[in-house]
Order: sequence, then C-alpha cells, then structure tokens
Amino acid sequence: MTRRTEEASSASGAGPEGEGTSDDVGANGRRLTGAHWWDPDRRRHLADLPRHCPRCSARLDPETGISVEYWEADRRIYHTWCRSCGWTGDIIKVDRMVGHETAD
Amino acid sequence: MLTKELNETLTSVGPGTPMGELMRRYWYPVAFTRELDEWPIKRVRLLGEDFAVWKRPDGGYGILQESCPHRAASLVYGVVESEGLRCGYHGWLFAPDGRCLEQPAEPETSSFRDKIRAQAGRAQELGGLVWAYIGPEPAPELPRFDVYVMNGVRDIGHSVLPCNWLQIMENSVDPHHVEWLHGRYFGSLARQRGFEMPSAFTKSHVKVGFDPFEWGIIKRRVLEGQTEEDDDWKVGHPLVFPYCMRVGGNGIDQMQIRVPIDDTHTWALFYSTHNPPGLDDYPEQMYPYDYEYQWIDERGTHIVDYIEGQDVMAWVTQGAVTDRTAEHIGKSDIGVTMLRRMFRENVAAVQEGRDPLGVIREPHERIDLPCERSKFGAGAEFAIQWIDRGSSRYSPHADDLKKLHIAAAQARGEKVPDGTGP
Repeated sequence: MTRRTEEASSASGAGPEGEGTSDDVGANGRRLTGAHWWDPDRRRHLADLPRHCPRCSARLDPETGISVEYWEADRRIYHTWCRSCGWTGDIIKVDRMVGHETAD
Repeated sequence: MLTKELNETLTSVGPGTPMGELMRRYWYPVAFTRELDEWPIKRVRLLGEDFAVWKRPDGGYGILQESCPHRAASLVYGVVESEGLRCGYHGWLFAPDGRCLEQPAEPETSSFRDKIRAQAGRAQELGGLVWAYIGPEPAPELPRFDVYVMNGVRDIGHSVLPCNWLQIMENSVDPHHVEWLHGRYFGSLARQRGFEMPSAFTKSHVKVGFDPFEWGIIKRRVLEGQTEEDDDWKVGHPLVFPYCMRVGGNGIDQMQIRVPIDDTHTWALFYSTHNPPGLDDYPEQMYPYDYEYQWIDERGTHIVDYIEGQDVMAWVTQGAVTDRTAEHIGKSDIGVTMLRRMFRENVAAVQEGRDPLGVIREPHERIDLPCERSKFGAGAEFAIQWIDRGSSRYSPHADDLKKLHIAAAQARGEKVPDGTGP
C-alpha cells in the first residue's frame, strides 16, 4: 500500500491534463500504479492530435470528428474524419524526412 | 490510441450518451420465445436500462420499464392481463404503449392516471427470439436477416460476458487474429492436450480488405494458396452494423450477436442455422435449440480448447472496458480504425436527425447478406469441426447436428469425414 502511494505520488502530474499519470484508474477499473513505458506515447498522442480539419479548418474533438492513432513502423498516423465537411484521411506526423535508398 | 474522453464516448451506451442515442435506433434480441412461453414475464437489461418484457395473451409481446412509476416495485413480478401488464404491488395497469389504464386504490373520479406514462418500447418475435426496440418513434422495421428466416435447424449458444460490447465488435474486423488465436495458439494447445484442431484456421493471411456497404463492413481475406477469385476475398463476410457479424459456410449460416447489456456486460449469442446442401427436409423444431456455452471453469480459468472460447478469452481479458489510451495499433488493425470512424460518423447522423447505417423502414421479407460459401477453402469436414471445436459442442443436440451434416454429405455423394461415419 505504501509503495503504491509512493509511486503514485512520485509520478503525479507526469502527463498533460493528468492523462497517463500513474494514479489513473483505467476505464476497466484496474488501478495503474507507477510510470509506464507507454506514458510517453500517451503524451505524444495528446500533443499531436489533429485539432483542426486539414480541409475546412473546423475544430476536431470527440463532438466534431474522430482521430484514431495507429503506427506503421515509427510513423504515427492519425486516421481522421471531420464531421463538418466529411473529409476522411490519414494525417502523418513527420519527424524526419527520409527518402528511399536506390536498390543495387 | 485514443484519448480517454474518446474511449469513453465510444464505449458508453447509457441513455443520453452519444453512442447510447445511436444504439437506441436498432432492435435487439432480449429473450427466447421459449422462455416467455414457459413464464410470460422476463427481466431484461438493455443499453444500461432495466425492463420487463412480457408475452401478451394475444400472442404479441410488450416491453416496459422494470420499475413501476408508482413506487418503483419491479413490474417483472406483475400480472399479465389482456389489456397490459399490472403491477403486483398496488395493481396499477399499464398498456403496451406505456399508458396507465388503472390505479385501483385512487378515487374513481381521479384523473391521476392520465399524468402517468411508463417508458415503453416495442417487442416482436423473429427466428425464435423476442426482439426489443427502445428508441424514439417511429420505430424502424426489424431487419429480417437471412439467418433468422432461412430453412434449417436452428441452434443458439449464448452467454453473458463481463466486458464492453465494442471490444467484441472490434474483433470482427480483425482477420489476422484467426491464423494466430485459432491457428498457432489452438495448434499449440492441441499438441499439448492431444486433440485435433480445425486445419482451416492455420493458413496465413496474404491480404485483408474492408469495404463499407449498406449493412456495415465487408471483411475480405486472401489466404495462402488462394487468389482474389476465391470466396474469402470475392464475397467475404460482413460485420453487420452496429452489433453483429455474419459468418458461415459449408452448410452452416451464423449470426454472431453482441447485445450491449450495459457498458461492462454483453449478451453474446451464436445463432446458427444448419442447412447443408443435399437435404430438402429438416427436423421440426418448436423452438430453436438454446443453451449456455461455457467459457470459464470453476477455477476462473478461461476455457480455450474451442474456437469461440478463444475469442471470449481475447475479449474478456482486455478488461471490462478496453483501455484504448494504452493500445498500440498498427497497419494490420485498419479494420478496427475504420469501424471506430463508422461509429463516429453514425453518432453524427443521429445527432443531425438522420437514420444511421442499417436502419430499415421498408417492410421486407428477407435480407440476404453476402457471405462466402467455401469457408477458408475448407471442404465438407469443416462443418463437423465447427461443431466439435466450436460453441455448438455445448448444444444438447450437437450429435444430431453432426448427423445432419453427415447425412447431407452422403446425399451429395461425398466422402464422409473420417471417424464420423455410421
């Protein structure tokens, strides 16, 4: 019990808006204690989530659209739908521009 | 990965929630007709609300809020009368549309009853099940999907699972799990325990595809040794939006039904109609066979030596509601991504006053769904394996079902699978 409290205390406030912090009670009711390897992914998810439609600029949130993040190797892809204009597509976070190497 | 807020939005089905409003546009099975012939009232929980469903003396069905509007006693302990359902506590009588017809202890001149209206839905029978609609009027038609109306022998395994319905539906747009959960894992278990597993599930996926259509999403696959001309790709089989999946082949047509009881419980039914080619007649059934399939043993360990038991393990062990803020989905999960978008689009449709996908308002006799006939490229023995290593093994009539398929194979002049002949 003490250990759980210490872990929760030491990691509290680790994520933006409390998301992914150690004292989170997950939706399934499991109490997640301590830091997790996926916490940085959660933080990046929140930080990079598309906030506006790339076509009509309408605000995107759970009321006005959806963005589901999936991975292709290291590429982080937000599959997005805008309720306002109906645009559907993938928005890809680019960290580094890498081209194909020429095959021998 | 989703935000916590979006995960909660997609998985909450209570009244007033965005998904709850969407899900209230559809009919759901809530009982077997057999049950209400044995006792005319049943308590049901649907989309986070409690109801009393009952069979009327005229043969129709009704569904009302469980809690009596008077002083909240359960109407499940009521009396079925010709005009409606009477509360057992003080005798208030409610019509099927929710109007309060009598309040016996109130003064005769009182108009108090006119002030009262119980929450009422609609209920009707199809395919041996009693279906309920608890959404806004006008109610849509109850879709008469092929599995429920076609000729054949009906066999329904069912169980209440302690998890959210959405994680079960996501499994229906995840073809890759088949070769692993029902292939590699099943094979490992079969070797350890010394039994034979269905060989059809071991084939690798070369390609998967998902196409939206008028009833949901058609899921396609090309397995090793197949081409796009094979049924598994050319026809595929559908996720029937928002809570079913149609599957089958080789003389078994099945609808997998996931009724959201509430946010953390799902009534999961496997409704099979056995109709192997080669037979014209099927045994008479007063009711479909219905039985509970077992998915957990007395020690609390999942029973995983059959196909659906493996699926249940994968659904339930994700937790009561999958925490999608910790998931890491990839390119192989694009069907899941597409399904979530489809739910979000249809939430918007309802909010804008439109009918969502799969709501039908035209009377009809039968809706045929696309479904591959040659399942996984397997032969006639697939039906036997499906029964032996599927939830139908818990059917009290499993042997009769196998005999049906053997008789059909003989009628077609096919070789009877080893070890199953007379």
